[in-house]
Amino acid sequence: MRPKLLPLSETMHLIMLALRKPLHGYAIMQLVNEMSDGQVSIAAGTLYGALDNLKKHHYIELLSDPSDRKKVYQVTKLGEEILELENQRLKKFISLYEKGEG
Amino acid sequence: MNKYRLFIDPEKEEMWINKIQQDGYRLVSNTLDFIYTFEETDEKYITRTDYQNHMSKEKYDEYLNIHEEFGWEHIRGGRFGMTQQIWSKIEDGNDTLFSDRDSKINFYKRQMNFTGSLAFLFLIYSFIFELVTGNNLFLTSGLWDMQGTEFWRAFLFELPFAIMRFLPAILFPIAAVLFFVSYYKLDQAKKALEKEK
Repeated sequence: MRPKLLPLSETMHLIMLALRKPLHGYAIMQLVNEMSDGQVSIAAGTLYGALDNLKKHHYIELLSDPSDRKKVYQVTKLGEEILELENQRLKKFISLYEKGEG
Repeated sequence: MNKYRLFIDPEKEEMWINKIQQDGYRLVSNTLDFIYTFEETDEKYITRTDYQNHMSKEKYDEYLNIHEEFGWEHIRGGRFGMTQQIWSKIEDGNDTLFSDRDSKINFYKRQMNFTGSLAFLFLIYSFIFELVTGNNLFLTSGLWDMQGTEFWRAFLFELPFAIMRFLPAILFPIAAVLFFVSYYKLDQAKKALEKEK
């Protein structure tokens, strides 16, 4: 069976890709915006919900001390494995596209 | 400027606040659900409501922090899931709390849980008060056997108390119905979004 949340939604996928390096909330939104050529602009509530969900599944973690005002997140080891699975899945898709049919 | 209003439907509340804000005001606080304090401003403010279940201290910190980083100001709400979360910011084009369909649907689900629980709670209250009040609105013994002035004196004396006893029995069912209506509307909005999928 596939791990939870897979295949990742566009929002979660971009957030996880952004979090390969440690970032705080607003910076995640900016990087995702940049990575998607301005197509995806994540709102605050959506970002909070996605981070909460990813954290619940241990795909990302809170790096900063709970007492710090600024909350910094990063992908975990498990999260990296999840991204690798998505990478394989998408490569497979690309090869299907390139074969043209079937 | 204070305005007094009690909202059951969160979307109506949001619209009402934003309408007032279009006329050069901004919401600064909302106390006890029904007292809305506005002050004059030259900026254009936009307000959005959210609902969150009980959050741990750490989660609540993250919730506040992420919204504040995006420029939202927390007007009302706590971490125990007892009230709406009210957020305001100066309009800048990114004026919604939810940017994709899934998160908006999840918002409707959380909101419906809250509204549905309140509807159910008021329904139970209604039954309790129905049982307690029953037919014994007036407690003066032998009241209905009294005649003339004696009856009227006793009747009028107890009337305010009877009304007070009766009030919950009438208000609670009304509240229950209003919450169920609101629940239904949220469900319609959620289903409309799900159909777009």
